[in-house]
Amino acid sequence: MIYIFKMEYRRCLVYKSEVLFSVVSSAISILVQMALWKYLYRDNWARAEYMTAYVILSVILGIIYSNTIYYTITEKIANGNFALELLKPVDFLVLHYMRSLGNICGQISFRAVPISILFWPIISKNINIILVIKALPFIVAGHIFCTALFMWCGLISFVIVESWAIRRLTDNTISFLAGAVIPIAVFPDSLEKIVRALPFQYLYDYPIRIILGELTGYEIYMKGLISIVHGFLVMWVVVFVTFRLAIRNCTIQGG
Amino acid sequence: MRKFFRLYRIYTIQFFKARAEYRLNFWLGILANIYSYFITFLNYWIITRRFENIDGWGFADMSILYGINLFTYAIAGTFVWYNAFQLEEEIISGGLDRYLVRPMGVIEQLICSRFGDTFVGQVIVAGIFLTWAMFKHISLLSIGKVLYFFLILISGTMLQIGAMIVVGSLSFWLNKSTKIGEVFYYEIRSLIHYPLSIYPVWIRYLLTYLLPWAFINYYPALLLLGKGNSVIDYVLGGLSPFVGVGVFAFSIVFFYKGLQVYCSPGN
Amino acid sequence: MGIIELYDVKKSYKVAKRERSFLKQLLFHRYDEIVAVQGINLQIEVGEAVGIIGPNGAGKSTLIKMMVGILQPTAGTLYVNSKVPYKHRKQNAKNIGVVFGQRTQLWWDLPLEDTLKLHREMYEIPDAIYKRNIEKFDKTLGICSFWHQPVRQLSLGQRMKADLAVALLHDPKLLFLDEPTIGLDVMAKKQVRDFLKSINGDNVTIILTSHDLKDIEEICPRVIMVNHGSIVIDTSLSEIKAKVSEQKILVTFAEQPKSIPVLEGCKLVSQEGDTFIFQMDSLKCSFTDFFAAVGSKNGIENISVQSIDIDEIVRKMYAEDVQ
Repeated sequence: MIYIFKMEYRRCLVYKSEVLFSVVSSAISILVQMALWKYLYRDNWARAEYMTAYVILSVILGIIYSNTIYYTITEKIANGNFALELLKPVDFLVLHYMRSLGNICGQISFRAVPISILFWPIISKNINIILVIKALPFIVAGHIFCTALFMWCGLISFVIVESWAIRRLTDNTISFLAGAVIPIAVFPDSLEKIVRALPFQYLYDYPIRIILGELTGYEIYMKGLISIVHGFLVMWVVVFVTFRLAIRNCTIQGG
Repeated sequence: MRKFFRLYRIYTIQFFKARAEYRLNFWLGILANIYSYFITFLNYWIITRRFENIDGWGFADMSILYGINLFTYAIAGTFVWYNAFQLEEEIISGGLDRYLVRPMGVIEQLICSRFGDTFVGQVIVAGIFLTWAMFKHISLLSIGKVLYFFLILISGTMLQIGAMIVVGSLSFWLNKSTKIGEVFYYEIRSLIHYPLSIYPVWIRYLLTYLLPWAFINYYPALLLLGKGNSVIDYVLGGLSPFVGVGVFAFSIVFFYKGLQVYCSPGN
Repeated sequence: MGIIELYDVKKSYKVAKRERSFLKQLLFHRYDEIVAVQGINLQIEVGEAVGIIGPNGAGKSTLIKMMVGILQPTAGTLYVNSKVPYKHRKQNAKNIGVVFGQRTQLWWDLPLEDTLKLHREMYEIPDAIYKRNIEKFDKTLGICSFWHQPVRQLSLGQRMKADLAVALLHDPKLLFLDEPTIGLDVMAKKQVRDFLKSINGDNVTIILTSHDLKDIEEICPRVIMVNHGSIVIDTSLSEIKAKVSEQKILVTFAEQPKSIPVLEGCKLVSQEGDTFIFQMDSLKCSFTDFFAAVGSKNGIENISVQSIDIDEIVRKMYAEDVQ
């Protein structure tokens, strides 16, 4: 189990040039967005600073939430090895999870950390460690949520052969509704109301605002946590239903 | 030339024949792309709503700016994307030999071999927003400008095709060239999603004289919408078609240079 | 003027040196030069069928690729159909057909007929010739039996036949084959070999590489052995066989022999059950001497003489060349 984790972790480092370019690529995308917000808030220096920190944190969170479980599952399905895996469903899921966890930790170490170091002067101004710890539960819950989501997308490919389109659809919708690119506060009021009613804001919008010190207050915190628990319970139910469906599909087709 | 078009038509028809088995995926893919890029336009709408405009560019202006970029990118993608970004694999596996043995240009064969069907979604979205925005600005437009607009779409497409070919050709010399291509073509080009006037001047120079992405949509839009600040802006706008053709021509030369360097791995 | 002429053709590759440090790898490129083909002279006439053999890494593929127009020689001149292949690639392509044994030219998801239609367009083949060739291929290879199936569903034998049909659809004067029978079953191999023989009969020049020496034996009267980038032997197969003077003699004795004589040029190689296998160099030792030596003290029940298998001959040649 741990072995698989270590293997995936090491795999992130195999192509050194790839690591370098991933970091460069993320850095440039951060700079581009920073340039935009600096311009948009050119009259409001504090807000511009806030937004630049927001962008950096968003990219870092994006790296944390990125999940290869979709790819490992669809790979198995494409290979036709899936049927064997279904004999031991729990093991199957844990195995894939370990692999994706290894990958995520690898990405964090070799992408998120360098990015944090590169942009340290900006981040360190706005955050402190206590706030990060406060936001941690949301991030962990977000991670579990994303895992379940991508697992579902992967399993769906059992029914619809190539499900990259579905994954893209869910990915884009959730990023948008979570405030990954544009903070929800910037949304027009009518839209903002709708989006605030949904649980996706707890993936990006909430944790980032906590880290940046904007959200305080026990109440908001609790409410948020509860919503998230709701959210991912629903997700898990969906995943298991899909799983059952996949198993049934599999056995009907004769394995 | 005529032979190329005839063959391209036949190849594409056959490609769709082969895809017919995966019909659901085809439509889902297009839907996913339409949706994705619709959300991108939505983002611009949100920003222009909140900030009134971006340096004088309202939502319709932004639609034209981004629309030109997306449209030309998507059309270029249907011709060249898959071939350019999978060239590395073909080189490594020696699959390129097949093309060298046939009496047709290699680039032509590559273009024929894969139609980028997934880009149809982007073409649709960009087309819709562009048409809407152009009608919104109908008062600004003269016949000349409309003709210029279509010219710009063609030359912009050529520029994007050229860029993709250059990125793909890098794999003749380097490993993992797709990553490098991503940085220079995708990340840096994303700067042109917004009017260049909002960035520090050096970025404008970068995108004009070094990596000519600004000629895809920014200068043409300046000319179309009359937003230029100086004569130079309009001159550069007028030059855009030529830059498009120039980049395209360069990419072909670059590709064939790479082909020369190519040694197929053998036993 | 032969259909293929090589004059002092050389080809060397630059292979990047692996640097120790990552930074150096990114910034500098240092190369080793590997000579794949050194100074080859070769003439092939119209209508010949030539087999090229040699150990892996000998430079055969490089040689073929230069003739086909995929690679450019580093030095020397090379003419195919009186033109330089890499300079006139498209024109050259019209006159040649190529079959890669390990990679197919066919469109994977579509039936054979679609690939052929595409080739008809690309090579601008007139209808009459197209029809005539399809009929011919159907008669000799039976391609119409799997005409409508997607290529990915075809067996290896069917795929190879399809590749052959595609390569010859445009009536090329010159046909290159790189391992055409690899992985095929015995029936399919025979069909392919017969087909190639008949094509050669139609005056199509054939250049064939294969690791299956039976292919060469059946199809190519002329054999070229390449090793270390040069031509080692250029001759006919029968001459090669004649050169090798060794023969195997299998002897079954009436009863367990009392002694096995030692003769110059003759030695006992192995024993299988009751059969003793001797290897005799007919230059050093004659049959009469052998019989006299072996049969005088022991009763011979059965005796048979075998020429050495061509595989062994070639293996010896490879081994000798190393020395």
